[in-house]
Amino acid sequence: MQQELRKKSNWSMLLVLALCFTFVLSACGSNKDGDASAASSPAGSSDGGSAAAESGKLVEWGWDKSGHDKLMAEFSKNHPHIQVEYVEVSAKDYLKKIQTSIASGSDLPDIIWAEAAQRGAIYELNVLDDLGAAPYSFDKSALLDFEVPLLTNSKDQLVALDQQVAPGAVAYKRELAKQYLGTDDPDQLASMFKSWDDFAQKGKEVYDKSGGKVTMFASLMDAYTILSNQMTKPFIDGVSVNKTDMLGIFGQLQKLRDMNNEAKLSMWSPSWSASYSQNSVIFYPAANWSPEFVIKPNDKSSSGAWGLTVPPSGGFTYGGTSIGIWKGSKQKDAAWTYLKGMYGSAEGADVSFKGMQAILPLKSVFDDTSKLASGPDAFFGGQDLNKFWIEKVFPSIKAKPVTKYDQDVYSASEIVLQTMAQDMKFDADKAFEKWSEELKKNHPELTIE
Amino acid sequence: MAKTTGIARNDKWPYLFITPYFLFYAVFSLFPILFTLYLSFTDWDLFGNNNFTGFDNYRQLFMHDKFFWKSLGNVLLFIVCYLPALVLFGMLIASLIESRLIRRKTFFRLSFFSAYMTTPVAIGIIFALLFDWQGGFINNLFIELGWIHEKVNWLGSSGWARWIVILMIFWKNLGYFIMFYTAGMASIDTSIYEAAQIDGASAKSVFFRITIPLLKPINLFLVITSIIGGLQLVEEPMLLYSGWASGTSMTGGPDGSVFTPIWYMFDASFSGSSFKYGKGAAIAYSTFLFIALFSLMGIKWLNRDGDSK
Amino acid sequence: MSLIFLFPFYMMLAMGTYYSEDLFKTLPILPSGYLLENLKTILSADFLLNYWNSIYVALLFTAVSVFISALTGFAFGKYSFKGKKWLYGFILVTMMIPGQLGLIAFVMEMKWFHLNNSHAPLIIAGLNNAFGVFFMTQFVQSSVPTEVVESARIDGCTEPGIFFRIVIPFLLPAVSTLGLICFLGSWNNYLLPLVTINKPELYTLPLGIANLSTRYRTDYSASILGLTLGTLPLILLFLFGSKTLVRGLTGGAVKG
Repeated sequence: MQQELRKKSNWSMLLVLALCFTFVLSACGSNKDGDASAASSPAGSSDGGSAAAESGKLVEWGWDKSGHDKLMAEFSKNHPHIQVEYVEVSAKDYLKKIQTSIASGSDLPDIIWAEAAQRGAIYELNVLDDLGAAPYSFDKSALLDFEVPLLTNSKDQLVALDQQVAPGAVAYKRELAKQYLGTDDPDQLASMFKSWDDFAQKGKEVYDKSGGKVTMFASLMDAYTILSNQMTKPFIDGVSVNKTDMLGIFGQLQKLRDMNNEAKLSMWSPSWSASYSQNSVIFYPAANWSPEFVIKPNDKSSSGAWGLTVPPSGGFTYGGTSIGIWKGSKQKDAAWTYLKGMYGSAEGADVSFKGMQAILPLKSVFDDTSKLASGPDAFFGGQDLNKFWIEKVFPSIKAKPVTKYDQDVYSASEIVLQTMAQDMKFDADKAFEKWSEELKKNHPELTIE
Repeated sequence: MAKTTGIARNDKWPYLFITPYFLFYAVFSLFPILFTLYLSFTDWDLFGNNNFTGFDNYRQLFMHDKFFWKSLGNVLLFIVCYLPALVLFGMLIASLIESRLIRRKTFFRLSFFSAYMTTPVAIGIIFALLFDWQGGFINNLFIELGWIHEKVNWLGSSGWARWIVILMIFWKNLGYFIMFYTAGMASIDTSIYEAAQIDGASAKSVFFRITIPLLKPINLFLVITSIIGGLQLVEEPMLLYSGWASGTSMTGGPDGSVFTPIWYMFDASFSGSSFKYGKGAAIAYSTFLFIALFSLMGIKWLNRDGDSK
Repeated sequence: MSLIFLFPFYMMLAMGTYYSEDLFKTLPILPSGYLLENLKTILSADFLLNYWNSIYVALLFTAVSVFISALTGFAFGKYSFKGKKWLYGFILVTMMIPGQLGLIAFVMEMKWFHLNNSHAPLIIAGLNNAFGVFFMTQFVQSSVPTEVVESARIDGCTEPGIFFRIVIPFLLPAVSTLGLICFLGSWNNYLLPLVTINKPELYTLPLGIANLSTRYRTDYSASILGLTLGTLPLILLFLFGSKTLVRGLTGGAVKG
């Protein structure tokens, strides 16, 4: 028995030793790699202006490797000597990784991404370089007007470029629209609702007619997404909360609830996702990325069942990713060539469109919109989606300045709206009060006039 | 003769044995602890603030912060509910499995332990599916059985949310407790049981007079680590309510009913807009005070009657 | 009763065979047909590499952790020496301090030692397992008969010899239990790898799985399939370790 045990412990010792060996090798190996690349890049940037701008190895942290690969294929045709080491970091954890790196004094990547809700916070962390200054000297008037507030920090510097335009509108189920609203034509639907009050009223009729089975929206949060993104003033100006607009939104949502316009689901939850393929909800907020990532996956089997139209009060911006350059980057020239060549010039517009069918928010792109049509989409009953965005949504699109509080505002609203959905006595004033309380939990400096 | 003797002769060995642990600790782990302590006295928040503010953070937490107290109350409530159940059922089931009544022991051990091994992502989705308000399995089942007449918003009501969290913790940890009890039982000398059998002791008194006292060191370990771990609870409530598996997030659950101190710490330091490390550190150390308090109480209580049994 | 407990685990296995959005329609009780697709998804994302990384990190972590815990636990459990109470108390206290924020400082340290961006931080984390020491101490106290230690000493055995030849066999149930828990802890560890590793080749499994999701759509079922496959080593270890839990293995030693 003792011998058996000794044999077992010998084996495990051997195993541990072997593993230690592997580990040491890999650690040495990776360190060597690290040194090698560090050695090559200074050589690149000390070569002088144009050479530095055209070659180098950039580090980029992002969450869409396959998209990146497609774009690189196009980009490399123009700039073959710029290489990018792409490190995949999931969107949910991106901010955590960035902030821990900042806090611990570690290096950040040359190219930094900022997802819509976190944009304001990342800008305020002061790690992105001002693209309007040297050596970039980007002219912000090249961008579409509504884009600029989304890319500007509180010091009025333009610190990022958008990966693509992210316009938002509503998607609807044609069957239900025809049955309860009388038409499934996008233009007729848009003109049916002159205001949100009209919408709410119609919604009540739909609910009553269907015996409570069909509602306009799936949840209050769906409506909030649209309403909040239609604001033109920021949530919080400095440290002063925008009470007027917020109270207005909560009031509107209360009305929608009181008139049975929503199905009390929880946005992004399993049952919310399931509702896409059931016949209980007519409208969902949708951006240009929604068909591919949300609608089609959730409602695979049907085709021709959907349509896109403009909600009351017009289009808005929804989602999107902006990209900037690290202040501490040692390869700013190459980084700028990369950023401009992908997202900030006519050449970039070409690359983005060819690689990803992405449309950049540059005025030059919209000089000739005929090239941008995406063709009839059978899933959407033959609608040309790009044409829809460009012709119907852009004219009325709104965007508001981003703030560092945006993510927490969103979380506070989520909490408040869940209560509003189930408690009929919870009105707009109470909602606002609770919302302020939640916000102040981590931001005691906020003031409410 | 029963005391551990040989102190004079073996003076250096115990110190040598514990050296690796303390050495590595001093090198790698001491700094983070001291650093965090220092942080708790500042208002560092990554947006530019980095001042020494003394006890401000603590004062704010203890005197003005109802979120902190609520979260503390929540975790205490949870522990009181699930810990006794885990200890009782853990020991019972472990001794059942180990007794001669059951063959195929490994199957049972594995099935209980599988709960502990199940991926949190999956758990989140499963519980969201079970307890969803409109489309959840439990609601549909209960309505079928006639137990309720209207769908209950399990995840949206503060009372039920707590029970669901307690249920999740109990489910996950029962296997864990059983594992440890099994290990403990494995080293109980069978001759004791044989002797008891010869003496004609009933199964019940064997359990109460022999098994439980012999498992006391394991129990001490499990209870104390559960108090320490339970006060630091963060995974189960976040699984349900941080919007990751179940949709919309609701930090702290309905009405803050499942908010926990460590979740608050994450909320203050790692959330989307708030990088208040100073505040987070203060929460961490404030929680520590309570953990120390309750652990000490736990140790004293468990050792209260010495070896009188 | 144990079947109820097993049920969610089974559901997890079944979930791996679904098309992600279908998961939300009903409780996944019967397997669906999407298994191959999900497999393809995870394999195309460096799954095997992440898997291997996770395995060897976890094994090293466990070996280091269990060994140091056992050694230290033995000292605290069977000896009495000056300062023992204080040192033991210190260890317990360190368990009580929530350590998540210490992450920042830990990353800083790793930078100073030039150990960041490798697997070293993950394994170093295993060197300070207060929990393991606590458990081992309790176990040593309850399961290692002092008489055996005494008689070995009288026979002229050296202290390390006592540890390796006499005590460890008694500790096997504890070793396998603690080992399993440590392995699981390292395997599921998400936060530490996230903030210390910047090279995709070094990513562990949870990180690799998280990256399967794009910003707008989480492929839950593929993730779950990947993570489920990740529980395989755990099950293997469990079965392996179960053998040590057979009662009476150590019972004979005392009489002999």
